Amino acid sequence: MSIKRGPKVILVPAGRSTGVIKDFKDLINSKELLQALLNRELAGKYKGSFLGLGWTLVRPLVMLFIYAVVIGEFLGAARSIEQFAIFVLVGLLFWNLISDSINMGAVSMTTNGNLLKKVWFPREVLPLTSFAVATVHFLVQVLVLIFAYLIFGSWPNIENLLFLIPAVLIVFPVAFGLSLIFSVLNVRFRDTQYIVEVGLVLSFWLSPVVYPWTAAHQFFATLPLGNVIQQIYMANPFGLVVMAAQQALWPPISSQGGDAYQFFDSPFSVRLWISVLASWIFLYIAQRIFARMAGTVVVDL
Amino acid sequence: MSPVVKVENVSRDFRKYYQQTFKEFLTDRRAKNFNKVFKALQNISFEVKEGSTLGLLGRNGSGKSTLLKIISGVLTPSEGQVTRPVATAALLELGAGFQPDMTGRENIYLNSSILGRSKKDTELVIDDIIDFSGISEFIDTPVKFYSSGMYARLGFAIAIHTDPELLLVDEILAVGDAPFQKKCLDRIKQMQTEGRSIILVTHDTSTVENFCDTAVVLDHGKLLAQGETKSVIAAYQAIP
Repeated sequence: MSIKRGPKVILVPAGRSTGVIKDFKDLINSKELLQALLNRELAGKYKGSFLGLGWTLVRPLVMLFIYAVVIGEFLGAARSIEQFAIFVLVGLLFWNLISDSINMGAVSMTTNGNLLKKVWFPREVLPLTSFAVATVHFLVQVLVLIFAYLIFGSWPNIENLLFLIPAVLIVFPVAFGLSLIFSVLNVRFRDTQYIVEVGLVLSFWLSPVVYPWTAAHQFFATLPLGNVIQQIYMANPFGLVVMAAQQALWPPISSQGGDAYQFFDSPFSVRLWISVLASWIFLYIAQRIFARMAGTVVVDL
Repeated sequence: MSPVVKVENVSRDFRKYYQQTFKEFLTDRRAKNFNKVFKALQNISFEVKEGSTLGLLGRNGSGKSTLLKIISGVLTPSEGQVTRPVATAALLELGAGFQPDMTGRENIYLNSSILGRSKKDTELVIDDIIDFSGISEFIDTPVKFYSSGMYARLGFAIAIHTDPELLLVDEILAVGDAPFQKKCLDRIKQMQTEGRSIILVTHDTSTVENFCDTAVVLDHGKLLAQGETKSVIAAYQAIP
């Protein structure tokens, strides 16, 4: 008898999950699988194309060009926002991370149907892979930002880079959590992926990526219940991520130091950290929903 | 000896009418067909002893494959629970998750990781896998150019090299040509002598006689008999 006895799994009915800690451990044990799926996505996506991973740079560069020229010059935003190209680039960088991971995550269960129907592994790996792929694209796109700093000859303040910590701590749980929920919903209702696409377009314009948040606030102030709308606007986690990124990486604010975004009675960073807390609670709830649904939806694939 | 696999009161229902669009979900909450249930498995309990081989017999539609899928974890039970080793290899869907654009070698790493093996562990056995599959000549060719036989052979070779404690086998004799089938059977026998446990699904009684220590018969989702292979085979043959 040469076989070593390893750990056991207990398979229970869907909805009677064995708990978030157990699921988390299973996920950690699957890091090799995550790595392999990530390689598959990256290698598979650009297989046979000449530019390969370079294609990830093309879309943000084109978008950057359009926003900088059309909105910056034609509509004149560049006259009121310093270094408008970098301003847009910083926002786009984080926005692409959010929208890519959620768009890919929403279809991650449906496109991997053959895998789900045949092999057991922690199902969270699939939406998590989407986030990992989006992160790799994000890191490649950071090169464009560094290039832009070189051109403009201005760099962000090192101290302000700390704002990236809450930004990342919001992006991950919110994007991953939404991917978890949308991915199982999409198995049940294929409408989900299209609703997600539209929803993301809407939240793009509800986040201050190509305009300063102050512009939105000035407009809301003219409306009845303006205060309430302003508060709702500021509760958008994606908007907060974009603002935190601008605070950290856009030289004009960054170099002023401190909470340039401070308004109302609460400083921006307090708002950020409250959002961080809410995001992780959201991820917990999302995982519970996912664990409940993932076992039953496989028959729908 | 302690059991490797414990199947406790497992039931599995399927809804007969399951396809439902978002619109129907909103509008037809009380649609007639929606709650009709098909009981694929009813209250199944058995154990597999360490190092033994269990034959799972049953006619088409008796619930064998559903049960195997529940043990593998692909399907969840509606009730009851299954305890099994993490290191379980399922020879159910050979080559599941192969990426057509990637080469055979790349797919070995990918597939092994899907089956829970680390890259390091796979490196140790990759030559054995390639050798066993018998397609070393084409191992660096994208698998989209493989024939279905080559596909299944590579899948089989990967699955049996994952060092499993438990092996789930569905109709093994369907892989490849006669020499390769013999190779597979020899390999499964070798795994038996190594003390690995096996659950073998079949409707061929001679396979059960030759391979299994104990057996279970399913009929229309119910457990008809379990125990010594002889008495179980008799029960299976008595099914009208």
